[in-house]
Amino acid sequence: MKVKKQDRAGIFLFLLPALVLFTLFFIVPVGFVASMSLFKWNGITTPEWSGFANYTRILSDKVFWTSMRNNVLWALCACLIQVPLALLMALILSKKPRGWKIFRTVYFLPQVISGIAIASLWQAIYNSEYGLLNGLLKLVGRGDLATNWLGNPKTALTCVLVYSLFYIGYHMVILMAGITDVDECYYEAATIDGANHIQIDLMITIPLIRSSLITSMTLAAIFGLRTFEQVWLLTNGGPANRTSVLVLYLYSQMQNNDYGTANASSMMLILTGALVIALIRGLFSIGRKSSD
Amino acid sequence: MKTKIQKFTSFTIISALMLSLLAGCGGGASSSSAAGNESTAASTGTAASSEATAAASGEAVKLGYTCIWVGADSKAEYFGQMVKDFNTAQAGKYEIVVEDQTDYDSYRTKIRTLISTGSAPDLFTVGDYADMEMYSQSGKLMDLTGFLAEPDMQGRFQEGTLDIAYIDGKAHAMPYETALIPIMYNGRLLEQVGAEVPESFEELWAVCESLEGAGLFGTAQMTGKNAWSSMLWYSYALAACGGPGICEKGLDDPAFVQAAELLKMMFDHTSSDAIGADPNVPNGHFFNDRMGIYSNGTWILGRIRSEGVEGLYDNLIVGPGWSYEGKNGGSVISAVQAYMAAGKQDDPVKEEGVKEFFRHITEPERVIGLTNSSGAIFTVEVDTAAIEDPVLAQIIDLNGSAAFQADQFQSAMPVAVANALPAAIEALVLGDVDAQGFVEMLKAAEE
Repeated sequence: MKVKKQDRAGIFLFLLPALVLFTLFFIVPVGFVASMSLFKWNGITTPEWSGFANYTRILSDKVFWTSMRNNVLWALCACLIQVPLALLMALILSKKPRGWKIFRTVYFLPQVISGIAIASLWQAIYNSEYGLLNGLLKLVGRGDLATNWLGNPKTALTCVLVYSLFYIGYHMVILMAGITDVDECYYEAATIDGANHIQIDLMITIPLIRSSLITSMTLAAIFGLRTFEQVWLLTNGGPANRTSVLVLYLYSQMQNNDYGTANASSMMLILTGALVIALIRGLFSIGRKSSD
Repeated sequence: MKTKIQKFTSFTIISALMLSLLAGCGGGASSSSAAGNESTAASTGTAASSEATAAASGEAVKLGYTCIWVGADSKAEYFGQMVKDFNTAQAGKYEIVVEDQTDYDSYRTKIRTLISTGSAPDLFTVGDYADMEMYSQSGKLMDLTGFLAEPDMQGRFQEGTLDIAYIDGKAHAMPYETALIPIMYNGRLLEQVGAEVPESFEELWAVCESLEGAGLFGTAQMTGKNAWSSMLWYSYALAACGGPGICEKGLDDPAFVQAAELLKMMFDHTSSDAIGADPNVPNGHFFNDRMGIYSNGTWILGRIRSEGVEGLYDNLIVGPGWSYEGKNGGSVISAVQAYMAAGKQDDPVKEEGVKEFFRHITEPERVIGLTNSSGAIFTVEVDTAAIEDPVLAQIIDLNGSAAFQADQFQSAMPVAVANALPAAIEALVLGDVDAQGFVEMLKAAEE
């Protein structure tokens, strides 16, 4: 639809409050972070110009690259495991089997429970001395597999990622809303043609909720990149920085009163986020073109 | 016609929205301008005008206190009463308005943000030397040099304790709470395995093996959060390897590598959940008779008494640091745990209020009450005979007879080095690095 010239002023006026707020609370702070990333600053005394020294320092830091790799893993895990799991749940629950409302609530429950409470629960599950997981392994005669799950470099990251998979409720609700919008006539036609449930889901539902899936995937990737709370609560980036993520990395710089490096880390995080979102959108647009 | 009405309605709504937005800004502007006027008045006004205003209005001068000793903190109840007593005693003159902050990390962030934005609280506490040094150099803290030099104030503190507050000859904070951190033993468990309290690291390994033989753990370790327990053991190992003032010598001293080797050996005698553990883990083991050797500040005594298994507290043995290769035994870790500080005041009346409050909380009788109620120890000179808790009194005596004061690594080293310690310990224990590599990790953080 072409916008008429006389309507442009009205549209602009309607957009203005949001633009002002966006500029004030996003553009200006990001500009501030970008500029301060070029200074050596402890947050209290006068900043000293340091050019790109903070970036050089970050890029030569092994922990930064471990954090970056872990963030990519988080984002991939969220997109390739969390969202597909949420889709599966959404497809099943959309058929409204018996007790579906209870299941919907149960799957969404982790979203509304305090992260600290859930993290404490998982710490207790993973504890090597009195944890449930080791207890179960001993019960089934596999005590040899018992370990300090969060303290073992081989298992720590997987354990934290497994814990994050329980947060599928959020994406499930988005996808269920998408499924509800699909016109019933498609299903009726498919049923008449003799399609089974799996065929209906694969050929009708999933293609028709494409926009919801893109939204979910994009959000999952963003959440993956922004991950902090779960890692901080469960491992604090340990053991030996094996589970560190970018936000935790920049948080530790802030704890060291090194705000210049923290700001440089923030800029790297923003750039990575923009890159990942562009990548996801690119992938979906290629997929759309090939399906068209 | 219809389009014109629509346009008119849209215009009216948008104008109303814009006006309300601008009105909001205007409100903010006027209030901030009012605040600005207030601060201008404060900065240019005299004490007489402030006092006159306060007297005329019959209102006390309010001092904001961003306080961490609230909620479940062991000092909360008694210290809260001390603040109330001050407000009662100074009714109509000064009033302390407490703002509760229960989380240490948030507290530190808040104080730093307030100071950096030029709005330091009237009263607050600083937890470590590095922060105190940084804030002191910011020029945004009240200068306490003259106040702490007053004979009355100087006489209240233990000898030499005020020295640490002076940076470039000026004091901007008052050392208040002290940490005394002895080594604690579960006497009942030692007796059960027929072991004596070790006096050296060499004896320690034998005691740990005896404990392990009985299905118990040797030393309490944790690497999660700030690796508090393991940081204390590293501090004791450093004292044994390098003697007094080792942290001042810097990370190039070979004692740092030697101490790392000892720390790694201690991890051979701990629970399997030590890597990544938070304080609840070593506390849980020690409080439940599963672990023989533990270290923490005196503030933990209350929790050992209330949360420990029956008889634990009564059988608690406290001792000093161990020697290594026959040297540097008998140390006790001590460090200033909290400094009292105040934001720079332009109003002399407020400045006087701050000083009055500091006098109030450093009265020896009050400090004894605070010690007895919380188990915490302070820089103020008190009659130790008045300390009710026998273990606490024993620790104070132990400190008095200590061969030397051991540095507490976290307080004595730069913040970045202290923060790098947990990951360095994990890398050491997991075999990613050797003792030399461990020290290199700390050095990298220092740079």
